[in-house]
Amino acid sequence: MANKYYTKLLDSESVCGFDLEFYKKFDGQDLSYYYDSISTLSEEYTKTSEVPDVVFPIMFYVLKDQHMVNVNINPYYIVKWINYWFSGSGISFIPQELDSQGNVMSTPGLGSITASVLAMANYYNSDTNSDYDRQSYPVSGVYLNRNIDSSETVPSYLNDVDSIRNSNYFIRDNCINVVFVNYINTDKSTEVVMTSNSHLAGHREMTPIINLSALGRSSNFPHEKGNKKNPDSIFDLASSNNDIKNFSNFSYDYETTSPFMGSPILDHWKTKQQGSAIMARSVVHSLGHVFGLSHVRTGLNVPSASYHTCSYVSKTMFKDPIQNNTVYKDPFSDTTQNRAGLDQVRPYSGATTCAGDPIEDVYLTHMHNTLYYPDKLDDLGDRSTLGAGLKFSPQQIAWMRANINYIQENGELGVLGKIQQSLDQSFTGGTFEEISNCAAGSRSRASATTHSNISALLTGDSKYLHDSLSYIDSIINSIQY
Amino acid sequence: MPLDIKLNIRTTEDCRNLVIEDITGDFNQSVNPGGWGDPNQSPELGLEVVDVFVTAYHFIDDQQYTTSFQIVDSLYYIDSPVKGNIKGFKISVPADVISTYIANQINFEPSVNLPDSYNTSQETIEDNIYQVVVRLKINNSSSIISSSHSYSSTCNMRKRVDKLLTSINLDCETCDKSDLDKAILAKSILEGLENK
Repeated sequence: MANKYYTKLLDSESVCGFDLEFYKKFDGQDLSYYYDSISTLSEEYTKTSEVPDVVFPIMFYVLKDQHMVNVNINPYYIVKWINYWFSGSGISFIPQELDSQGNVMSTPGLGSITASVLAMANYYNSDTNSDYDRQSYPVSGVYLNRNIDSSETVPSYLNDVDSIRNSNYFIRDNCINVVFVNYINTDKSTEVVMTSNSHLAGHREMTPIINLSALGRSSNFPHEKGNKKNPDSIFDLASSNNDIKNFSNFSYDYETTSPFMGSPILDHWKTKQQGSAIMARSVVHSLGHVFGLSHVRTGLNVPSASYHTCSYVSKTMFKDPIQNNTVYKDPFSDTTQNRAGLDQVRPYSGATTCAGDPIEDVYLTHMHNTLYYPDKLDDLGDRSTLGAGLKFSPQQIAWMRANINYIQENGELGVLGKIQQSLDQSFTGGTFEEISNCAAGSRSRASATTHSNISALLTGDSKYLHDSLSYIDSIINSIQY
Repeated sequence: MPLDIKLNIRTTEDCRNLVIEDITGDFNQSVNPGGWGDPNQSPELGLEVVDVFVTAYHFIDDQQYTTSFQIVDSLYYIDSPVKGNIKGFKISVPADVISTYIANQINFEPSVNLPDSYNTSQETIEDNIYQVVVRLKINNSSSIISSSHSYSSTCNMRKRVDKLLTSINLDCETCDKSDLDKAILAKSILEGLENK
């Protein structure tokens, strides 16, 4: 079984399956054309003043099984959070309004699929170590990688992630798709709660698949840090001075019988409060991959000690061929590479980077691999602005913007560029226009969204306005004057 | 490029009217190629050519509605600086006209019932998002349609917050200072909405 070691490619602390998926897709490939193109475009982006903003429609699908109850998520709420974390990048998202038939959906941006309708479920027979039987979706979760070593068998009836991506129930061509599932199964030592791939892998293949739990958790009572908030309000995005509150409510719940709830290894995800700090950054992280970012440090089937070392890492993601038993750094100089002895992501107070700089002085980005443990996020909780240090660095932003304008070797736009072109026929990629060109008649990307998508956006904005005004009203009514 | 109608949407200071203004300006090859006049559409037209379409994104009893309607009697509410020329036209629609249109449109929908609580004769423009499109009927066979322009109205809440701030006694030593903090918070949130 050629792929049997794929699962082990992931570091035991990985919560994202990108490294595995990218390796499977690009094992041994030379991506130097891509690397050179994006490097050039990134440099051009940095030098171009006032590049028009870009807007991407996004579609969320929930793969519902019997362990998901009270799933009542609001795509506008998710998008608000995503746009919050993407602010300053010139990239934003709006819920997709039209369904595949061109009709306005009752809830723009949200699709719900009952897992039992999927016919692609597979059963790995560990006794015979060989076969997959077609089954309906019977128990729980999805497989990150069904091609596993027999000694590391994942016992399950499961859909693998690719079968979901290839299902006709999902995936629209003119937007970015995200699928929420009950539980991503990996092996016994990793805790993957989300996975995605670069747009280089293709429109379907890049699709993020994320545990619903990794969106963030609802809180029906005052948070331990004292933020007494209305759990049903979408206003909790930020306080008046833009400090982020350790609070979110994505309105879903699991039954206690869910394998997710029963997993000791995922124990820290399941309580109502602890996941609240995630605040949709799992989606943001996955979208970072879609837009061409790797993890800050990528270790493919290497011991943890090597993965976290500060010793010189000679390989750079995308620049060097993708191969097993290798540690790569990202292509950027403004992201954090932690010092030896600390893992890649734990931003403990007082930690320093590999260069010896205080950790607070450099970018703790959205692209660290293990940042999404709720308990690790709580390490930041004493800061007045939880998560404020977690952002996309300038070089990461330039890289993502470059990926949107990427022209493939065959002369065609990349996947992201094609989505933009579907919204705005004048989009050609390959270079960056300055926003001043709009005065001569070309449209900014932000204004190029379709009327229907603007309508969807306004529906969400309307709710935000309404909730915010209601909140102000409650403040005024609480004052005796 | 053809005429590109630009609109400014706002409410009057007393919140009683929704104002839709043409701010397209004159044609200029380099700075305003979508403006009025040769080679684009001449503004020398009667006010009756202007049709106004409004979509209100609003709530009744916490239920969200999206209600679209045409102001068919817009001629009552429109004016322009120069007679026989619609450049700079201004339409000022009273709040009760807007609420009546909304009520009529909801009643017109076969599957939607207008809640009894809805005031069909409102005195001020509700704090909602209003999306406006203007159509110019040039002749029987052609028309020019503007892109949609949206406006988030917070006029009523602005008045309440302003009143609140002037009502709190800043010099009161024995008063609960948390009231002042709350008022400032309300003001900050509102400003965030206004600057959005």
